[in-house]
Amino acid sequence: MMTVFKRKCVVKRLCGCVLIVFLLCFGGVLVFRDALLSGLLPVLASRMGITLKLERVHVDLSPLLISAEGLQAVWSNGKVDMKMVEVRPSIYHPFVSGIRASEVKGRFSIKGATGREGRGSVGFLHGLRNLELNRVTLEVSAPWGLFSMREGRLFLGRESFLMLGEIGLYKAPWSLDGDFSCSGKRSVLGKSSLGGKGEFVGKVFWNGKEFPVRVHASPIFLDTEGMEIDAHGVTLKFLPFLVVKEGDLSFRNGGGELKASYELPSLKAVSKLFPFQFPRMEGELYISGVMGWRGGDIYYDLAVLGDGLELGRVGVLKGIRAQFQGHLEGRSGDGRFVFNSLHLLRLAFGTLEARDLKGEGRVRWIDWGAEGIDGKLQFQKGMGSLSLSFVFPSLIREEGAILKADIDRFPIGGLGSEGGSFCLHKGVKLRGLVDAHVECEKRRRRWAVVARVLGKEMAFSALNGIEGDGLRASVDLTSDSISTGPWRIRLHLDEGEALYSYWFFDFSKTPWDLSVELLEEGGKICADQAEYKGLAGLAFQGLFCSSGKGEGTLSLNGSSDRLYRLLVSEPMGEEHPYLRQVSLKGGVTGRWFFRRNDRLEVIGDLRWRGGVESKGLSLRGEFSLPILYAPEGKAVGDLRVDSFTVGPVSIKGWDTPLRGAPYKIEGLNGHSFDLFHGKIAWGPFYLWYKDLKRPVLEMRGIGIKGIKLSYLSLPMEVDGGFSGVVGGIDKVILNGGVTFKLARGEVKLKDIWVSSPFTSLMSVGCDINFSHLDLAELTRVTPFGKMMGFIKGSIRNLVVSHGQPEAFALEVETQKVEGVKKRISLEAINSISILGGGGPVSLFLPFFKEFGYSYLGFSCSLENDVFTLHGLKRRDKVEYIVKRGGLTGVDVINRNPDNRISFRDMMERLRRIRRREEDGKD
Amino acid sequence: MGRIKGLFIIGLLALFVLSCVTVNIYFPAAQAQKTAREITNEVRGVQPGEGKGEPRSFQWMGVAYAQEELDISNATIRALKASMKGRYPKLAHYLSSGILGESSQGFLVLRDVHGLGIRDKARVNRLMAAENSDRKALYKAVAQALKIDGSQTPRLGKIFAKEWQRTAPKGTWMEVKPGEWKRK
Repeated sequence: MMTVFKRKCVVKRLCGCVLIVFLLCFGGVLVFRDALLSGLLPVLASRMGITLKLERVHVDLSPLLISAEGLQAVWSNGKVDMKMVEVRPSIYHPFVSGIRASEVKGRFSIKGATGREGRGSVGFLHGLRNLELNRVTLEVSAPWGLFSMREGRLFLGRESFLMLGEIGLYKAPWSLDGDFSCSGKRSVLGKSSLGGKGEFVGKVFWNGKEFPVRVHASPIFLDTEGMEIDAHGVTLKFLPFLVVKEGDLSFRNGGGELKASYELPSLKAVSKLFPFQFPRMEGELYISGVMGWRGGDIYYDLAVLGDGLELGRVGVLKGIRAQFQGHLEGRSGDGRFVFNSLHLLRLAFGTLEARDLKGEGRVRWIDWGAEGIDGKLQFQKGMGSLSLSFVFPSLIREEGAILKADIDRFPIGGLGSEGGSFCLHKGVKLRGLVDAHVECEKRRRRWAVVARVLGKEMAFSALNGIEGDGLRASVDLTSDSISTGPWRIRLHLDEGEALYSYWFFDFSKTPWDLSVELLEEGGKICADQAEYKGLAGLAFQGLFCSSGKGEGTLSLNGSSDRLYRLLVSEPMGEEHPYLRQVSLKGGVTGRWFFRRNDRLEVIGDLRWRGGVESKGLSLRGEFSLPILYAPEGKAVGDLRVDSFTVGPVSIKGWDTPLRGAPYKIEGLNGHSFDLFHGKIAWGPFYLWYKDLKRPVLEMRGIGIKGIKLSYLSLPMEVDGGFSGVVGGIDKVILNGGVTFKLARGEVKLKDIWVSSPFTSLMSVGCDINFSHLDLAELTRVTPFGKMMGFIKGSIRNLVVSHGQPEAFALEVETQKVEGVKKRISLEAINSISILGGGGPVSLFLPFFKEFGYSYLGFSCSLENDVFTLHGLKRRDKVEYIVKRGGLTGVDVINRNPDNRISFRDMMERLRRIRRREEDGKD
Repeated sequence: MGRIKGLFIIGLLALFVLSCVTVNIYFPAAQAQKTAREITNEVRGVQPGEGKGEPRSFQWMGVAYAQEELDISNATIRALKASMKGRYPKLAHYLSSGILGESSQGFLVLRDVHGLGIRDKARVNRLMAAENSDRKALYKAVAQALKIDGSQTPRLGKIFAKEWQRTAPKGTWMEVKPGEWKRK
């Protein structure tokens, strides 16, 4: 049964539909002539055993991607015989098992033919079996380039596909002109293939240049049998970024070889092959040598030189710059590469430079399967190895692609930064053994990464003196997007030692654990969360960038004993031995909000509770310091001293609220306590710390009243007052004075200062005035010898260092007190004589023990360990230290007005006086 | 005539004023050297006149100094000397093994720490810091004692440097000129 349909015959169409239903039931032949054929009808018809005869029919099977004009074809049982076809869009038909066509002309437009069929091949003509096209003139315009053929032949067998897909991957604009035939042999590039038996004689145009070639069998550079090509001076641009110049190309018996130099003029295009996004690639890469293929294998022997290569960014790695020279050799499946040198690798936090990094590598090359690309790269150096495996489900950069790297005891050495910095440290050098496992997976167009790096026997050093040795460190990195972050990093150090200046850390005793979450903000790497456990617990939340700017909250929780020991007393104990005598107990906590833009601002508090013990000093208490290192704001805290003991002084129960003002802490309440029947009191205090290196403490209104030191051999009472005590790191100044009432007189100290108070070089200075001091009382408690009378005088610029006088200028003279005798014992005369450089005079005056005198006066000074002694009364060029009264008594005369006594000598003279007394007691 | 006379007087006055501009730099080099010698001898337990390579011309000076009664000293200098003297036995090993060197500025510097563990480096760093801190204070104290202006302290350091190098143990690296090192 045959039914003929013509175009625009609506009635017939209606009838035809009825007829078609009839034919579907009973079979037959449908003839379409000058008609418009669309929809599924032809397909269904052909599948149901109906033979379609199409003449001058416009076929539009849009849903199934076939569209043709001027078709003369017989379509029967899923097979089509066509003649004079003008095919417009794609041919893709899952129900058509074979097409024979002749005089095919037209333009094929291939869209999206990138192998999304789950089999890794190209969609173009995929599934189309036994396509045979004769005298084909066609032009294929695909996303990757253009394929054209003039009056050629094209045959594709079962499960075959046109390799344009794979070639198109490389975006090669190329054309093929000549006869052409294909059969379904396997190619090295996939299970499906292009190639086969036949002959191709013609010309190949590569990159606009013409090459006469003669090809037996398949013409394309795949594994074919009986193929022969010899081309010299070949210039190929078979990848958009890879140019071969003046190469020698040969095909022989299913194999081929290309001996040439390769250039990569467009590194930007290379980046598209990589899984990561590079915003910028610059530099030059040269490859020269031989690359060939035979029997499905690729072999290569290439020298590689990269010069001034610069990559914009790969994840946290930024501005990578490299120069390297190497050698690559081997065959598909296995190979070897040798790095002769590799220089300069720049990372996010600075420059880490690898100089002359040499080594040999083993390459497990790519198995390019239909499911995707599956490869492995192994690098071996010394005892270590690095293996890199990757699975890309279809093509590179595809969703779900996996990239894995395993490193086993890989020795790193020669790594370092010169002239630049790495992690804020200049001149970093690294060495050690590294185990690592890195796994990247492409999810939602981004590469997620999970990495664990274990460094053993690591050592590093930097120009600023930071160094470490014998370190074992593990680093865990996770990120949902290696390119953009955030990156979560955990560093754990539990073995080895590190040193910065004189701060030494033994990680086996105090392991460090640091977790940080980094992200990119305005082109800078910033930390938005961090936690540290080690010397103390530190936690940070906020945003702090590598530029040094940011804001956040920092909290501290630790043992003051450990912090003090590891950060203060051990490192600085050699320089300041007294620090070793101090022990700090208790816990310290703190919480600070800080902001740093142009300047640093810190607001928060520092809490401590515990005790301080030192030689003769004990403190128990707690404080909460309101820190306000900011131009405005206020805060509160408190200070409580449970007990404070220094020698006989004991303070208990001092509690004061603290008020934090900008760059200042105020202690609002003073305190008073009883001491030796007297009282000591002080008012508020202030601590200024705008200059963090030189804080200033001021205590106001210090009063001392009625302290009776009656337990001393020379009892005294102390009164005094200071309007303020101002202290800094360098000097403490006491504004006021103290009066000691002793020996029926007064000793007044004023202008008291202490220099270098927190060092072993501490000095104390003051001026002293004294008056109405009873010599009888004074000499009673000294071995000087008995004297009677009253004296007054002064000590100017007294400086005492290390418990010894360093300088002073003393003046003493008698003070007239009515009714008081002025007597001097022979013992005292002897003492004065000894001090003045003479010997004892008692041998010459054996019959008198005491003498009267009318005046006693001398000055004594010490400077640079030189004492000078002068009598204050001068008469007839004679200096009298002691002047007798009237005719009786004794004169003590300084015979040597230029008397200069060394400190050592003076000490010896004083010892002689003491010895003499001890001898006398004996 | 009177005008010429006036000009002459003014000229003379100007000359007088200009000639009165005096730059007074006081640096008692001999005394500083004597002090440096005495201090370094005492700190390092070297008897006067000891020390290899000592110029002959200094020998008599040493004797002459010994005859003088008074040294430049005070309580601070004595304390510093005691501190350095106590530290020297620990330093001597690091000096003789070439780990520490005596610079030409009168301070210790790290020279060669190869083969030294981190813990030992920490020890050396701390010793060196303490010694240099004491030396800095010593030079300041000696300068004050000698009434040398504070700006001249580096010069005093150079004088001390020669004495530290003279009394250094064998094997010590010495900076004989800035940047030029030789081993004793």
